[in-house]
Amino acid sequence: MRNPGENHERKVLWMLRDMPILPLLVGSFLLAIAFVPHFCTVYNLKNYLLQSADLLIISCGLTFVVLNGGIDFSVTSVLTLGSVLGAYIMALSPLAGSPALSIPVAILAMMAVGLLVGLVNGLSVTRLRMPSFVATLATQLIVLGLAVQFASLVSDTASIAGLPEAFFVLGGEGRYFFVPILIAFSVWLFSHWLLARTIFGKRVYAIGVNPKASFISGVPVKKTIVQLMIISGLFAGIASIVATARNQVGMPSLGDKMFLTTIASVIVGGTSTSGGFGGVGKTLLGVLFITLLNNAMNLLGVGWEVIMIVLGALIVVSAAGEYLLNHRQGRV
Amino acid sequence: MANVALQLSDVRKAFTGVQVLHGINLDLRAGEALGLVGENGAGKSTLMNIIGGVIAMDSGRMSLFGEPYDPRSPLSATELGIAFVHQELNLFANLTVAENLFIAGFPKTWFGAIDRRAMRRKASECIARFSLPVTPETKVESLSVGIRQMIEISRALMRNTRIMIFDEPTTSLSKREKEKLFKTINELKERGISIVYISHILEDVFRLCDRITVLRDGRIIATAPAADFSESQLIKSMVGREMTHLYPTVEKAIGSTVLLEASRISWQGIVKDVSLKIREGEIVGIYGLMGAGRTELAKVLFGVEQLDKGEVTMNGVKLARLSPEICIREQAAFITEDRFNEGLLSTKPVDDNLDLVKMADLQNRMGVVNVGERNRLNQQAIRDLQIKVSDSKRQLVNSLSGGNQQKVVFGKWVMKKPRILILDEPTRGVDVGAKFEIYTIILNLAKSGSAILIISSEIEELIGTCDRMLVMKHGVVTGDMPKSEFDREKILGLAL
Amino acid sequence: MKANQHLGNALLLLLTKHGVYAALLTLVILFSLANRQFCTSDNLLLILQQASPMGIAVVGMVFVLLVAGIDISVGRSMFLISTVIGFLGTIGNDVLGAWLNHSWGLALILGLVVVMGGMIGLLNGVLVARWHMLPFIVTLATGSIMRGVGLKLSGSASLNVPPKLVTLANGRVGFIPIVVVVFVVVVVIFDYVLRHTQYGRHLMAIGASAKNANRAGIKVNRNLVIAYVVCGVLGAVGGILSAGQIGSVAAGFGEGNEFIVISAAVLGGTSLFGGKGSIFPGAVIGIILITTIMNGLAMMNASPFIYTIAKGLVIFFAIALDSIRYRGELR
Repeated sequence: MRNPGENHERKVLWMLRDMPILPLLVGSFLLAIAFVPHFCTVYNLKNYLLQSADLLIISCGLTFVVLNGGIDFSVTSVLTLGSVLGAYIMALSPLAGSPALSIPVAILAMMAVGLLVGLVNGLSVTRLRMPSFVATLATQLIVLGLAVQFASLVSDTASIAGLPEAFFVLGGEGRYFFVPILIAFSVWLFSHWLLARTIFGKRVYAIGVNPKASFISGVPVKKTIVQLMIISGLFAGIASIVATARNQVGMPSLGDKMFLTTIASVIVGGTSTSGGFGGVGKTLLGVLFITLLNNAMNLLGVGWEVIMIVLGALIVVSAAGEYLLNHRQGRV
Repeated sequence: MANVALQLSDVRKAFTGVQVLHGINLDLRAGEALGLVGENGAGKSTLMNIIGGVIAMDSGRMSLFGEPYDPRSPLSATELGIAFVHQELNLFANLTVAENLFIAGFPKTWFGAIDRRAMRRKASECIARFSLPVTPETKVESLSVGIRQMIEISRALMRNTRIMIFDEPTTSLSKREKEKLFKTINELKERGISIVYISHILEDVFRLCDRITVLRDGRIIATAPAADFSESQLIKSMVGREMTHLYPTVEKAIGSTVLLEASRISWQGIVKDVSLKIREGEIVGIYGLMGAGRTELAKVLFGVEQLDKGEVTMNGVKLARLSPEICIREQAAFITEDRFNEGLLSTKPVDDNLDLVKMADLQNRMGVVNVGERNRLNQQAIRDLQIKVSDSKRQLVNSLSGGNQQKVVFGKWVMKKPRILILDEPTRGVDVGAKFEIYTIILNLAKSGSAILIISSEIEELIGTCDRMLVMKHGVVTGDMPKSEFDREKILGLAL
Repeated sequence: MKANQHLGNALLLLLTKHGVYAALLTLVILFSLANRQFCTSDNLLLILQQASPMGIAVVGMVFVLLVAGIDISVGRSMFLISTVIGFLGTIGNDVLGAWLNHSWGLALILGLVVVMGGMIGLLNGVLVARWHMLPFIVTLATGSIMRGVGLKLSGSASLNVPPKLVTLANGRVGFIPIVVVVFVVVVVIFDYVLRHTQYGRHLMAIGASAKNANRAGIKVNRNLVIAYVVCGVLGAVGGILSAGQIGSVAAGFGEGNEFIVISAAVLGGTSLFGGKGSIFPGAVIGIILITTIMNGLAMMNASPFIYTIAKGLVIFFAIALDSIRYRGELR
């Protein structure tokens, strides 16, 4: 008869093996508190949470795609296009004068952009049978080009400023600091609910492991793939709302560095790139870790170049580790 | 005493607890052609795979020309002079004939590049020997299967082979090509090369082989000179056995409503104009040898592959479009032949596999899965089917035995209470105990009014469970007999 | 339904086999109409000159694509390699400076960085072959690492390329640009390797079916790694020449080059799914087509962002055609 203490131990061990990121995260936090100057200030911690919020929203969307064994390179360019479009609507379009109208329209437009791009990606993968990494690579270029082109057409300056102040609430301005965090958490909760409790989530996992067997068992494979691509795009659209609000301008350079941090969050968090294993819980940990890394390195004066190297190395190590842990032991 | 090329002593092999070869004793003499016959599942492929170095035997001894023989890989078998011409071709469609012939070792010029002239010359010799309608430069992708087979055979013949194993080599050959092959085989015999010839075309076996050995249920039943056998005797030894399996007896009635009807189904030349009807409560079996088109028929019926011609009607509704989703909606179920790749999510726990089909019914309006109901149904399935699993939530399905895995597949489909059930080799790789349980499930389903189609390579199994039996050969139905007319030899004869 | 399928398939076949030539012809006509300067011998030679450095990288990419792999780190590898050369020039060491200015010294240094490119390819290859990681994830990660290292070396500033290299990259032999000569030599050598060596044929076999190749005794893993090394080496060469042509290495050099390289390969008939492809005429016509598009757009004074969109559209159509033909798995 096992005593309850032992059972508890086994559970903890299993959790550690399943989510190696957890001790890494905790450890890094401790190191940061100890060695990184200005890390523990209220200002910095607020910043940290806000940065995580953006990243969490977009990474949740990407998680769906990676669970399917694919990837979506276009998420950050959706962020960019959304930002530019939304800013235009709120600052330069005929609606600019009336924030009560322009803000909701802009928000809808930004989400619509994500949705549309996701739809195109989904159809390219299911109807045209293009591998997701190429299809989304192509859409990324096209959308980015559109964003930059559009920005240069409507504005002389690089970024579009003059957004209504009410909009900044969504970005965590002043005492509304909790708003983006709330939004991010809601998105995360929704994703978790989708993946863990609904039939859609079950289908995503099933297809990720074995599309053929899922198909024969009646899972609507093509429809589900389109749906998860749309989710990825849509969430990127939502992220663009929050990011634009926080930066208070519409920036064509918004998504620039974000793709690497997004994919790193998902992979380092522990979701398998071959599909079928992982989830937004892991992605949350990954997001917290990557943002921590970013934040700490910025405080230490380390440039983006070094961060790129670290992230690249982390991705390789995580993917290799994931392969070793799971595939070698006959789990796959 | 004739020179013994290959000798097997007490070779045994088991897969996941099921004994496939029970102590095989065999010897192959130099310069002879030995025919190997037996039904599907008799163990022919396993035996040849062991000789060819593809898999390892569990116990026993093999010796090659007196030396102990224990190949670690197909490559080492090839190097030791054993050439195996498989049924599935090992060619590269995007390369030319000559390149395929020499893929393992190209003739090279002094600085390492391919000596195309030498290659062309040697390839031409090979081509001339078989009078193939190709040139060394022809791309394999443009060739028919028959010609590809000849190329595969000529490739095997090019090496310093001492023993050649042919596995169903003539299935796609024309008459002329077959004659060429036989002539070549005779030439090889004269050169002292030994041949193992596996085929279900008995007249060819008689023509070509000096001795014939019969394999049945993993045992050598008889080995004798070909002249000592008649065709009917051969069939008898291939089939005849005591009833080792007990089949459940269930009282059931066959209704008059036709639940599944297939009309003139054709697919890619592999299924040709097949029609069948199954009524409620009726169990229909399809027997046939590999390549007869049975699995393809099943896949087309369920919409896994799209048919070229024909119509499928389920529950009286003519289905304009076919897909697994649509069939499931019509309360049909399909248990595939390849459970590992097509039937299970092998790296997922048992629970996730069990609810895969039923899921769609367990959701509320928001799409949330009713966890309580799902757990209840899963546990019930585990109990009903006696699936041996300790923690269905965590235990991965690939850690279960073959029989239990198959029960999980059954559980998944049976949960939906299917009215039409298509089964492809439902007890393959399943131990005797589990087999009986599976037959019980099938018969009970029929009793409750479901229409059942069983595809199997085990005549016994079909005789023990079916009300009617169809026999398929080369994509067409060659026989349709009710239970009263079941006769093992007749059935096998129709399939050969 | 079958008749329609056949018609569709025949059309697709026609399109993919000869579509490239038709497209090239059409574009040349269109661009010539739009700008009379397009069809001059000067401009056509310019197109060849612009195409050559990338073309060399395309040759390497074909090898990787043939085994159903991919390398999206090519552009960043070019950046790193060129940055290293530029960086060496800034060290201000007398000996080093003398070497860079001396033909043989420069050649030695160039040789070393090309070897460096090969080693990066080796890393990519090993991660893909032995550790079974997905090629695009691996090369995404290594690409980031390389860009990071390059940016650290250059301090995000623009670095100058040694003058001798600039002369080389922009020089001519007679009236043929040197880079074109290098490109031709590379094409001839590697086309030969692909068609007439055992390695080349084995590569095609692996692309057709890795399983069958294994059964036939081909060392699949080793050949895979070699393919990635070739891609790394040729990518490095192309990068060096491209940097030489421009004269300096800006912080954004090389970004997005992999799209051009991959598109060129696919347009030229190399399939993403492996087993199909060629260097001559495939890679050659592919890179010429893409360079023609870019050149033509420039002649029409197209806005710079049209380039990005054009690039995206080109990849999209090239790969869509490839995918419809070869029907990969739904991922």
